[in-house]
Amino acid sequence: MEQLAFTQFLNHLFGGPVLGLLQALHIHPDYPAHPISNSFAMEVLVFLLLMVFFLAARMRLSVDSPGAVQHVVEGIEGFIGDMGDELIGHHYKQYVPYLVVLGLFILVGNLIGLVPGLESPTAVKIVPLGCALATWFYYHYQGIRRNGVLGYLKHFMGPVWWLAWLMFPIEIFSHLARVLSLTIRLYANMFAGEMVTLVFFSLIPLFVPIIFMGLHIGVAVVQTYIFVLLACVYLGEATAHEH
Amino acid sequence: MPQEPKEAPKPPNEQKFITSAARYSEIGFIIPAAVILGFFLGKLMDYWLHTHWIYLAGLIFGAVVGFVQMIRMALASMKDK
Repeated sequence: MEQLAFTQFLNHLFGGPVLGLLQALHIHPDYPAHPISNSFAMEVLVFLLLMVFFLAARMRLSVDSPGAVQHVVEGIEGFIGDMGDELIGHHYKQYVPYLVVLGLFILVGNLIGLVPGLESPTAVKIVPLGCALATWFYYHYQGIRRNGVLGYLKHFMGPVWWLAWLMFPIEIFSHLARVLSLTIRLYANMFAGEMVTLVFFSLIPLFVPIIFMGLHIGVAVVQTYIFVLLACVYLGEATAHEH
Repeated sequence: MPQEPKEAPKPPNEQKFITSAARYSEIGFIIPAAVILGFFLGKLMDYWLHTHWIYLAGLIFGAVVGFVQMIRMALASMKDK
C-alpha cells in the first residue's frame, strides 16, 4: 500500500497504539507496520477540517455583524433546513444538526481528492458504508423515539392489515437494501469520477483533466445532495405518525 | 421605514423537480441492491444450514422486493401529480 504523507504522519504517531488495539480485538491488519489506512487517515483529516470550520464559526458568532464563515454556516443550515421542512415535516429542526454534519462530511470527503497528495475517502467502499449505516441506525432510532417500538413496527405492516404477513418481510428487506443502495451510489460515483480523472490525466496531462475535474466537482456536490435528501426522505417516513 | 428585501424563494416546480429527480434516482439502485442483498443473505444461510438452495430463494425474493418498491414509488409519483 502506498501511503500518503498524512497517513505516514498518523502511522508514525499512532501506529503502535492502533496496532495494539486491533490485536486486542483479534483484528489482524493487512499491513502491521502501518495499520492506519489511507482512507481512515483521510477521514481523520476531514474530521479535523470540519472541527476547525465549526470552531471558526463558533468563535466569531455575532448577531450584529456576522462574518463570512457565519454566513456560510447559516446558508448551509438554511438550505438543509428547507429540505428538511419539505421532506420531513414541521418537526424537522431536531434532525438538522445530523443532516448538516453528514452533508458536510460527505461533501468535504468527496472534494478532498481533488487536492494533490490527498485521496477521497468516499471512493473507498467502507466509508460510504459507514455513512449509510450511521444514517440507517439514526432514522430507525428517531422513528422508535417518536412513535414507540410498537407504533414504529406498524410502519412495516403496510396499510392493509390482512396483507401484513407479506408486507412485513418485504419492508424489512427493503430497509436493509437501502444501506446497500446508499453505499453503492456514493462509492461507485466517486470511484468512477476519480478513475476517469486519473486515466485522462495519465493520457493527456494538460488541460483535458480540468474538464473531468470540473465534472468530478459536479458529481461530488450532486451525490452529497442526493445522500442528504434520501436521509431526509427516510427520516420523514420513519418519524411520520400513523393515522 | 425601509423594508428589508425579501429573499426570493425558489419556484415550487423547479424545487419539486430537483427533489423528485433525486428521489427517483433511488429506483435504479433499489432493484440491484435488493437482489444482491437477497443473494448474499441466502448464501449466508446456506453456509449456516448446510443447504444449497436458499441463495436462489433470496435472489428471487430480492427481485420481488425491488419490483414492489419500484411500483410503490411509481404509484406515489402518480399521486403527487
